Order: sequence, then C-alpha cells, then structure tokens
Amino acid sequence: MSWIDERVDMNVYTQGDIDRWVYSTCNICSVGCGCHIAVKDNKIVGIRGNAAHPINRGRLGPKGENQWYANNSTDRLLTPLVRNASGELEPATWDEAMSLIVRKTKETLAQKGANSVAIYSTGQGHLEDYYTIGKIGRAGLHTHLLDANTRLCTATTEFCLLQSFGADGTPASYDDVDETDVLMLFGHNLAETGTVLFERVLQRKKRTGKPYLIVVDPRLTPTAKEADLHLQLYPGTNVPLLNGLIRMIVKAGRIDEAFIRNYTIGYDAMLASVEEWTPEKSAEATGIPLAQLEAAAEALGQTSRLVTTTLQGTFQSADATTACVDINNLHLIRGLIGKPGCGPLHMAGQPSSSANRTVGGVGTYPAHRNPQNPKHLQEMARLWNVEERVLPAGPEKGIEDQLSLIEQGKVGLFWNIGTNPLVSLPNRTRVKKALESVFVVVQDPFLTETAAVADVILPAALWGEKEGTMENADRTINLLRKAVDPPEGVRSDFDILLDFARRMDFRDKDGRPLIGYDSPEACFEEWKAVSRGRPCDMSGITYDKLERHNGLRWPVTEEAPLGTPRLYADLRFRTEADDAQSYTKDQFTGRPLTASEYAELKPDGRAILHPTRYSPPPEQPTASYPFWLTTGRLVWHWHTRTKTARSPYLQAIAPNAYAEINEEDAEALSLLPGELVRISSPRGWIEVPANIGNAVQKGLIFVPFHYGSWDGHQAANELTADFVDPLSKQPTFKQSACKIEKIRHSHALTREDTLQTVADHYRIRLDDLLKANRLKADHAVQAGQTLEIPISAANVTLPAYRPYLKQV
Amino acid sequence: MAELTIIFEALWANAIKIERTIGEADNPLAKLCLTVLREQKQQLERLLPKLADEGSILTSGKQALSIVYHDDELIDSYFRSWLRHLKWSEDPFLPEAERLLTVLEETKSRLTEAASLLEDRYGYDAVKYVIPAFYMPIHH
Ligand code: SF4
Repeated sequence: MSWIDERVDMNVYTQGDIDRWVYSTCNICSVGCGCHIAVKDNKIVGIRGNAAHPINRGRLGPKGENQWYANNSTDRLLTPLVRNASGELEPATWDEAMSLIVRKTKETLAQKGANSVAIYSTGQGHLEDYYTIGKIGRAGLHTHLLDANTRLCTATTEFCLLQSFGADGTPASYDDVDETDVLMLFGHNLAETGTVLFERVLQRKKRTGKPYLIVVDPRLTPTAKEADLHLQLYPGTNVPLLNGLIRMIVKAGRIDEAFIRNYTIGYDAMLASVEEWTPEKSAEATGIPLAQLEAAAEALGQTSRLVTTTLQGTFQSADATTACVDINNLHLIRGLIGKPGCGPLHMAGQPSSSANRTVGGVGTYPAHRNPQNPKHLQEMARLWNVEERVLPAGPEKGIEDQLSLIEQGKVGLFWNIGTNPLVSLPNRTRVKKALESVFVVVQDPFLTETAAVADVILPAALWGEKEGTMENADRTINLLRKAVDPPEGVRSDFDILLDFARRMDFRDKDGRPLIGYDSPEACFEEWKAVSRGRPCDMSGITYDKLERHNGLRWPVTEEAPLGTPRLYADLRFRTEADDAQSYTKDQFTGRPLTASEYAELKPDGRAILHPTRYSPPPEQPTASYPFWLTTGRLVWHWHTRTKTARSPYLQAIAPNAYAEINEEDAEALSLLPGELVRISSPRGWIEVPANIGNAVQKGLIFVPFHYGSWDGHQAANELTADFVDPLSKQPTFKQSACKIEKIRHSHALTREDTLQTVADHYRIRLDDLLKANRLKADHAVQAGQTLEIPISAANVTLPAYRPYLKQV
Repeated sequence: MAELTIIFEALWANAIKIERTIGEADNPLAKLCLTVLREQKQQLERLLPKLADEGSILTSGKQALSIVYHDDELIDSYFRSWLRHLKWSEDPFLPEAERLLTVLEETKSRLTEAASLLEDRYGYDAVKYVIPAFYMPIHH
C-alpha cells in the first residue's frame, strides 16, 4: 500500500471522555474512508479516522471530518408531514402518512398500470436499502421506473463497463493506483472530490516520483496544478482527444497485438472510427497544443503500468459513455488491464452509488443480471419465489425520461428518497413543474428544497443512526454500525421500506410476505444468495468479517475469501451471452442490441472494442449566449449541502455561490473582482459574485452547483440544459451556453462631483470606479456623463484545502 | 394480419415524413434522431414483407420488430430534446418541428395498437422480451 504511516484525523466536540467509539465508514464521497463515531450520552459528538483501514489509514478529509454536525442539527425533521387541503405541510403520524402513501400507490396502479410509480433514490444510502427498493420495485410494484441520483453520478461508469467488459465492476482498484507508473485523471478533480485518495497519490509521488500524473480538465483545478501534464481541453471534446491519442498510439505501433487478437473483438471497426482524428485535427478540436498531445501519447504509449480514472468531467458530458469506452479501448489495445498497476478505474461520486448499481436498486437486475435475458429473469423469479411473468423486462428509464413520462401524464406517484432533485437536476424550472403535477413523497432527514413539491414528507435517519453496508468506488464493501438511535419520531430508510411492503401486502407466489427479512443483516444474507455465482459474488462476506478486515472488495467467495483487488486477472471478460449483464447498446445511438444481434458479435468472453464516433454537445456558445457554462463541486461542500451546510465550519468557509470567470473575459467586460453579475442561459438566470482568475479558460464560466436555496438566485441548475448522454442517460451538466451581464447602478455626474466623491458616495474604491468605467486616474469629469456603479462586491476567495502539502 | 400491415405501412410513411422534414439539420440531437429514424425505416422495410406470413411474425420478424420499437423510444427522447434546443435557440424551424410531434405521437399510438394486437394473438409471454413495456396495455 502507498500509505507508509497512519495519521488519525479527529474532530470531536464534547466535554470529558466520550462513552464509546463505534465502527463506521465515511458517508460523504466514494473513496470509502474507514472511521469511528464518537458517542456520548447517546449522541454523536465526533468522528476519527480508522487507523487500521487500508483505504485511509486514519485520514479524513474536511467533509468527512465535519459530517456529524448534521446529526445534531436543530432543524431535523422529527415527524412526517402531509400537505393539507390549503396546500400547507402539517405534522402527521407515521400511520397517517404511510396509509396515505399506500392508498395513493394503489390508486395510481389501478388507474395507470404498473409503470406509473417511480422510486428515485440515492447514492448515499445502504446496500440493503437499495436491494429492498429493487425487490419492492420489481417484484412488488412491477415498475421500470427505478432510478436514483446515481444517474448524475455513476451511470456512465456502469454503461461503459457493460459495453466493454460485459458487466459492471470497475476493473482496477486503489491498489493499482498505488502501483501504477502513469495515472491519468480524466475529468476527475480528485483533489476536491476525493481528498484522501488524492493525498495518498501525492504522498507516494513525493516519496518515489511516481506516478507520472496526467490530468485532463478544461479548468486549472487544484488537481491539475499538481499534474506533470495538464491537458486543458475545450469543453465537450473528450472524445476528439482520446480518439486522437489512440490513433497516435496505434500509428506508433505501441499496441499489444497478441492481447488484441486473443482477448478482444472489434479492433478494425474501432480503428476505423479514430482514423479521421489526426493529431492536427485533434489539436484543433481540443485546443491542446500538438506538443502536449505528443507528450501524452508518448507517456500513454510507453508505459507498462497505466491506471485511468474518470469522474463527472467525463460522465456529465455529451460524449460521456463514448469517452469512457475510448478509455477502455486504450487499455485494451495496450493490454493494460487485469494486472498490477493497470486498468480503468471509472469512479463513483457518492459513498454507495456503486452499491445501488450492484444490487439493482437502479438500472439492471440485482447482481449484474440482464433485464433483457429471460434466463436471468427466471433466475430472479426463483430466488424471489415469484412468477417470472410479473418481473418487468427491458432497459430501465433514467430520470430525464421519467420526467418526460410525468409530463405526458403517465406517472402518478414519485417517491424521492435521500436526494434533492430540485437543486441537483438540470433545468430545475422544468423539474419543478413536472413534479408539481404528480403525488410526491420525499424521504429525507431535512426539509430540503424538494419539499416545495412534496405531498408527504417522511423523516429519515442519518448516518450513524442505522446499520448497513456501502460499496465504494473500487468495489470495497464497507460496514457501518449503528452508533445511536435515530431521534424520536425518525425512522431508517430500511424500516420505512419494510413498513411500506407490509402495508402493500406484497407476497411471493406461495402467499408469504415478499420481504421476509426484518433487519439489514438478514437482508444482506438474502442478498448474498442472490449474488452467488455472479460477478459481484459476496457469498463470502459477513458483517463481522467486514469489520475484522476493514472492508472487502467483491467478489468475495470461498476461493477468494479476502476479496479481489482487480478484475479480469484471468483475462476472461463477462461477455458470454448468458453471463453478460447487457446485450450492449449501439455505441452512437444508444439503442439496445437484441439478443441475436449480440450473439452475432460472438464476444464469448472477450472484451469488446467499440467504434467511438464523436457527437458534440447539442448546446454550444452562440452570439446571444457566448460563453460555455460548466458546473461542479467545491472541496468544502457535498452536493446540495443538505449535510455540509449544517457544519458551521464548512458553511463559514464557503457560504455562497460564485462564478469563476477568466481574467481576460473579466477585463473585456471591465468586471471587478467579487462584483455581482448576472449569468443567464435560455433556461434562467442567477446573480452571483465574479471570481476572476485563471482557473477557467477564456470563454468558460464555472458555477458550483451546491447552492440551490429558493431564497437566493444562486442555483446553477437554473441555467443548465437537460440533455443527456445517449448511452448512460447522464445529464450533460458540463456543457451549456450562457452570458454574463453586469448589474450596475448608473450615476449621472453633476458639476459638483469628482470621481472621489462619487466613489465615496457609493463606498467603493476610486480604483474600482475607474476600472469599472475604463477611466484613467486623470480623467476629467464632465457633467452629464454617466458612470456605472457596481451594485456590490464580495470576497470570493476560498482557502485552499491541501493538507498533503504540509504533510509531504 | 392485414391490420398489422396497415399499421406498419403507416409507420414507414411517418418515418419518411419525419426524415424529409428534419432533412440535413446539423444539430447533434437531430443527427442522432435521424440516424435512429433511418434504422427504424430500414427495419420496417425488412418487417413489412414478413407480415404476409401471420403465423411466424414473432420468429421471422422478431428482431426487426424489437428494433422498430426500441428505435421509437429513442426517437421520441431525442426529438423532444431537440425541440427544447430549437426553442432555446429561437430557431425559425421550431414551428415545423413542433408539427412533427403530432406525427411522432401518431407513430407511438400505432405502435401501442400493434403491441396490443400482437399480445392478443400470441400472448404476453411471447412479446415480453420483444416489445418494450411502455407500449404494452397497462394491465401489465
Ligand atoms: S475522502 Fe471521501 S470518504 Fe474519505 S473522508 Fe473525505 S469525504 Fe469521507
């Protein structure tokens, strides 16, 4: 492992000794750091990193250290709420709220049929919650409408893996990150989104000089600042870059021909698709100088150990899955997969979004079963003891398609669990309007912005108040023990789902309750049987074993009792027709292939190289909206700040949104640092201070998406376009068009005015007044002339979070 | 089976109409839409002669049938996205594109009608993995 030492980060706030430390896992990002929760008087009073956990050896990032404040927040929901006849949310008993949900569900099913109830869940719950959602959704409600905010997070990971390797499950792991010679972080701002893993990379780099770090990002992020090679491409050009690089590598003869011949299919068609991407064309499309492209091709073509990670910069783009498939292609043609220090490591954003994919709470059937393969559905019917004919066949519907179905009146009930779509989904005006037209259940610990459209709100337990497991980004299953009881009146997601199943009287074909388990651990035991023999086999896991070994990477079986650090070490891919999780999709259009089309490909255990035809972003800058808009995260906050805004420390550091604007653009617009500006797109507008610098390239605006309160005008998703990637249906948050407008008072100069008196009057510095009006210091004041006065200015400089610089 | 032939011939005519109207639009969404539409049209051309033999349509025509349906789901999604794009970019083509929505909706309702006929004749189990659920009668 790369850590050479442990460092126990701790954040405890109490007087005197604590009562106990309880074993857990950080519930913020997908890195999966082990931790212990401090408990005193049945209250969570802090956290410390788990020194023995191989992922973090005791370290925690700022969000991890501060996540527990939310548990003690005074604005926790403590009772269900139901919207009354006058449109107000009023307290209700659990029985009233659940009875209403059950009545509405039954009415909806009777009126609109099976596919009229949608469950939209999260990537922050437990594996056991997701498995239960999958079972209730498919075998109880018989619905296709199971999706989650993982659609905004890891959907692309899943689909690119299905396309190339036949099943989900990221091939490489953090062990490979520790052993690789070249690490390419592709659209992955690891320094801000996975601080502990980035620290792990940099600690090794400082010690050994490895890995050579390539960062692909249109922004000069904190990650890019540490890169050996930063490829600062234009927005929306991941595929032109990768196609160009692959072509260069092939032309240089740096491919593993024997590997391609023995372990892949589709090489010729793949090659034909990149042929047009000459270095010059690739350089022109991406804006990356030729010399840098050559340096990248050299590094990627020479190395015998390469790990490539991806995250939202790749996933939330118009060419998302194709770019990730391009990365898989690169690893396959170089034979860099299935061995130490090698492989694609397509990440996840949230702490357990991978679990949701694995157990079938979203997407395909549990344990990587293909919803179009009758044999897989027969197997599920046997495991769940239901008739195969009641299990819905065919591909799932992503959230954007679900919104379209809602608009067409086909959905009657939308159950939202642990996510805040009115802040996190693109084009939120449309989302709000759609959700106002259906019966909405919101299950959350807090009154989020989505409560605005809720008909029922169910108060849910938080991290530390429930037991279960999560799957991180490298297939590690981690355990979370319950540290304290939820507050009086609050229930865990798991208990709420079980109550719903009981009240709906879901039964198996022998008349026994469909949900036969009554605790998360019993649920996990059932899940183990479902996973047996599948790629994500967890039959060798128990809760106690997870605690003893500090997490295990699936598959964990009798043959691999301590898990599997990397997939495909035997170079057998999961592409046999009756093993594969999908018959794959057409790489350009996204149309699911039929069973016979797939059979004709004859992959038979070989990986699939797909052609990677480029489809540019549908919306691009125009004369009316001349800037690119991209959105993303800050190191200080998580998603819609439901938890992180309740940490006084995190909230004080980053209380407001802003817009990063390139200094040349700011100069052209005579903008002042921190000046309030209006950013608008064809969807809406926000007003935020300008953060001027060189973090974004010229022509690009970056707005963090964390700030979505209905009170301000700071929500990035007022602006974003709701287009999706054709394969993974992930929205293209990274590419919309926008414009910037100054918001200024005007002041008509009088004879008595001087520039200084005007500056004093508006309490701005004379220099700023001059700059805002492009005036020289010796400008002669002329009565009647109008000056522009910036309406306000804020300090938008955030402190950098880089503990590893102190450390290493 | 004449009913099915009438339905799928109408779908083919609709595909031609949409293809002609979208023409050479160069937005990526329009291109995606056109690519899928052309595939659908091609599959309809394969399917139509097979409809003459009523008994074997779910074997001889199974693949084409399935592609026609799945293509329709995609066309609907890409087309609606493209409409939003046209609206946001104040494109003069918008009114014409909006009129096409009626054609798409007609295609969808004909496909739903065909799904119902096929299910009536061959049973749910025979069509479950061929026709996407959203075209099936709601009792499923
Ligand atoms: S890196 Fe992620 S998992 Fe680790 S402490 Fe930070 S937020 Fe938690």
